[in-house]
Amino acid sequence: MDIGALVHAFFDNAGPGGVVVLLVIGGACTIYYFLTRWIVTAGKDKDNQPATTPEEQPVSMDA
Amino acid sequence: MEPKNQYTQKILAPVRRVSTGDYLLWGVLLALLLTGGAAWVWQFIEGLGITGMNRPVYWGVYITNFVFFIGLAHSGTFISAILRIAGQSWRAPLTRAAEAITLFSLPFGAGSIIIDMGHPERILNLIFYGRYQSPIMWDVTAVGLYMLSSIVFFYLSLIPDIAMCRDRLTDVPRWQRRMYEILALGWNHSPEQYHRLEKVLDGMAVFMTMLVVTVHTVVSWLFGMTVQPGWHTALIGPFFLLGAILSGTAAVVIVLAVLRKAYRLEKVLHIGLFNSLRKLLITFVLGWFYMMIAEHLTIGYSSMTEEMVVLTDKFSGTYALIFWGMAAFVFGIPLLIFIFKGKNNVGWMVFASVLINIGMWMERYIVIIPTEVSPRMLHVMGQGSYLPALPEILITVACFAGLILLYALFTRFFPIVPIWETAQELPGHAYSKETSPAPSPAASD
Repeated sequence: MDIGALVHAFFDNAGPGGVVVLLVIGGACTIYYFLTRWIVTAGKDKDNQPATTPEEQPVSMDA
Repeated sequence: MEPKNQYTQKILAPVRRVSTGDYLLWGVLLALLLTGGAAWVWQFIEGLGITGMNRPVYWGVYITNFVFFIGLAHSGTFISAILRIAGQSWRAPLTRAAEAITLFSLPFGAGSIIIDMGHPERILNLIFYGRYQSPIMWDVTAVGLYMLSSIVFFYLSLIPDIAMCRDRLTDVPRWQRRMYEILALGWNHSPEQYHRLEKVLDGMAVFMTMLVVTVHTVVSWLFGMTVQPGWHTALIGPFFLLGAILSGTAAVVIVLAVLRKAYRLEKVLHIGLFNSLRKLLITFVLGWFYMMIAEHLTIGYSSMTEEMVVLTDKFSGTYALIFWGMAAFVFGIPLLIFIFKGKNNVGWMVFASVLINIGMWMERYIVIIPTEVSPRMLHVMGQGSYLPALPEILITVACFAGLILLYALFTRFFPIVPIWETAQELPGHAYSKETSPAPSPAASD
């Protein structure tokens, strides 16, 4: 495969530039969405997870 | 558990009520914005022929505004990202005020390009027929990503304070409460949330710093990649970048002083912040002067015919008044003020910062217009002339009014000083009980 021709085609043709812009902005949107979700759901995940082992279970007040 | 901050009430006070003065200010700014909108419609109908632009002057004040507003937008990222990485904890009270400048000036910067196109739908050509050979495509990519990243960076650091507004401001209108509820995304001030937020902001700070350098370098390459006199130099990238950070930091001083006075935030936005900014500004002013000499000496020493036409025009020709005015406004007068009058004096600091920003706008103008008027191959292109026409002046005024309007609106609905970042104690963080918070864990590493 002629890499040089491919690079030339990318820079010289009308169209690929727009695709790059959309990919960069779209990719950033996706990453930022998941980052925001990861931040705001912190703590909530832990609250919702059931304790699995006896060690992880909350200590009874009666004990 | 909410962060403990002794100034919470003081910071939230402007958000509690909207005064008649606010409505008056918003009304005036909106009127100016609408006038600019009407001028744009006029230009849309009549075409770019009604502007001062002509052959061979294809770029006028719209592109000057584009470069200026993008430069102004560097303030937030510089204060928030670069100083965050450097572990400068004193920056905490002014981060949001600076980031808001970024957020609200970027749309007017990017919008100036669309206005300059004449027909806004032509922007779609970049998507459908985009050719990556063109620096305009590099610009769209960099500015687009910068705008998106700035919004996210700004919003993420705002979430804990929005949650505080949601919990504390019970006497505000219903729609406002609902807005806080939606925007807070269920934030509950858990230590884990703060821990993750700090982690992401530290990571983003590195990325944003990289973007700042990229964006303004790419903006400068719009000029530098052409073989026009005065533009075709490798120095143009760092020169534009330094100028952008200088004007942005000066804008932060102006905004801080206004907020301090209008919202009685003297204790939160204390004089020490201005003194720290003063030191930074002295450094940037000197750096800008160095770049100025380096660029003009390199061009002048070569004595190339086409370059000398533009250089002479700036030094002693048509644009001499603007050129030397710019040098006085950006370098001479501010440097004297910062050294002899600026310490512990907000008034002088603001005066010097206003001069810097007027000078920086003039600098953008002086970079663009003389080259456009006397381009390479002058005998073919012909000597040009340029004076901004009425629509251009009205649209420029509208852009500045729009920026101030968005800023004024924001400060009435959201805390302009970050409560959680200036807190003495954060949930789950071993922050000291001093007036300023310790640098974030990653930054202190």
